[in-house]
Amino acid sequence: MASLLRITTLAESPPPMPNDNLVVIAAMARKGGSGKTTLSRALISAAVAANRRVLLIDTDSTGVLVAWHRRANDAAFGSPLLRSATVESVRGVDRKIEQVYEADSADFIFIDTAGVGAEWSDGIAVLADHIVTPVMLSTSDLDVGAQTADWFEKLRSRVDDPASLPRHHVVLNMVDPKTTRADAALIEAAIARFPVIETVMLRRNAYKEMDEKGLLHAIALQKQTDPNPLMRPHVRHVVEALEEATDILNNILAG
Amino acid sequence: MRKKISTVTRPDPAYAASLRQGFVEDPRREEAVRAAIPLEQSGAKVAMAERVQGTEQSAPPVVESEASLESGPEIATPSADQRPRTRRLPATRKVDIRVNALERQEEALIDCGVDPAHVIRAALRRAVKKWQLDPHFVAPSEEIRTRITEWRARTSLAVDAGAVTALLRAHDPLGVLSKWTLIRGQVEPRVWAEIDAILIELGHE
Repeated sequence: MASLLRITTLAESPPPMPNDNLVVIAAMARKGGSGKTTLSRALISAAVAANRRVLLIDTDSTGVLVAWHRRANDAAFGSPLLRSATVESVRGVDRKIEQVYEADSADFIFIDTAGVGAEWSDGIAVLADHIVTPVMLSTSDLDVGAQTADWFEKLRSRVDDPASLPRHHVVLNMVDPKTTRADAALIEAAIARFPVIETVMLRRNAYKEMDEKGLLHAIALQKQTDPNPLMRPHVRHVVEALEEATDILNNILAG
Repeated sequence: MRKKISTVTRPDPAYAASLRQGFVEDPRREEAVRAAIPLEQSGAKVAMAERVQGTEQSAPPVVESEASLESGPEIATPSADQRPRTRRLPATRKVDIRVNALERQEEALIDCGVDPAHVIRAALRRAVKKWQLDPHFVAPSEEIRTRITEWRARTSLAVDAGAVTALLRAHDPLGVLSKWTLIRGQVEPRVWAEIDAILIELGHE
């Protein structure tokens, strides 16, 4: 009887409604090694920990993020809420977003891009709701970050409807927990130049572990239940990283 | 309704495809100049240098270099510069490198009975003998290097120009980093492993 009821329910269930709350976040920067993939992993971890369905789209030819997702699943540090796809063209990204939107199959889409400026940057930018650019604290990195900000500002003059462009956010990443005066000066310079998100991403071993294993909250759960009681306090570092990532994600969504 | 997707009405005049072309072309031009000039003066030396750095397969035949030496004045003529031989040379870029041991290797190096600088230089030679630069960036290791700068081995390596270009394109589009920064993640661990191997050979683990 129960199974019959289930079948009836399925048969009568209406087609899914498009998800008007879908949020597309693209990590973009004109430089490789700036931390886009790490930032993407952290934000994905935060979204999944908040029980949101996430699709990650890897457009980087190295396929690092998809490989990470596979590794996470293999090691039981993934989540059924997280799916991934490799897409090789702007058109492909557009189609994928449309499919997810129509089928209401995710709440967030994170797009990781290659660290170069290119023609496709414009195409990805117009599809996203938010563009997030990680910038490290060095004079050279700020200069490259300024190029990304400049490209985005100029994009406004090259589209038919600037109002529908996404919001641009800069996240300062790999910030040393012991901030020096030089760092403080660079942070001030960054705030003066970019739309910097209040919460910075610190240089943390938890992010390295996230790269190695998978989602932050899955790592935290594993540490919490570690049979070795000496390992359990280590959960604190992972939880701190997860809180930081959640703050950043909330700042992006609020910005 | 999904958000309105703007239409890009005109391309970005400054998008980095133009940078890319620059990066692809410049090293080749630089390499062609670098290869052509020594050929006029010491062709055999150049050919040797290229082969020592692990590009035996595509290096020009030694005979050709020797012949070039014998007929030195002819090679210096402009027509010789235009010969396709520079194109047959493997496209390489010279990268200045500085390598030192790890802090954890200090004690064994001091006790091994051989000048530590010699051990490090030997390790460097072994490490790069059959090594080829991979176009995928490897972040430099965070292991602590020794602070004894007298031991440091400095030399230059000829590495595959295509791989350097790929690394530059992906990790240093503005060309602000040193080439060594781009390749040290690949070279240093090999040198440290060779130092360990030499220390074992010398009986000092």
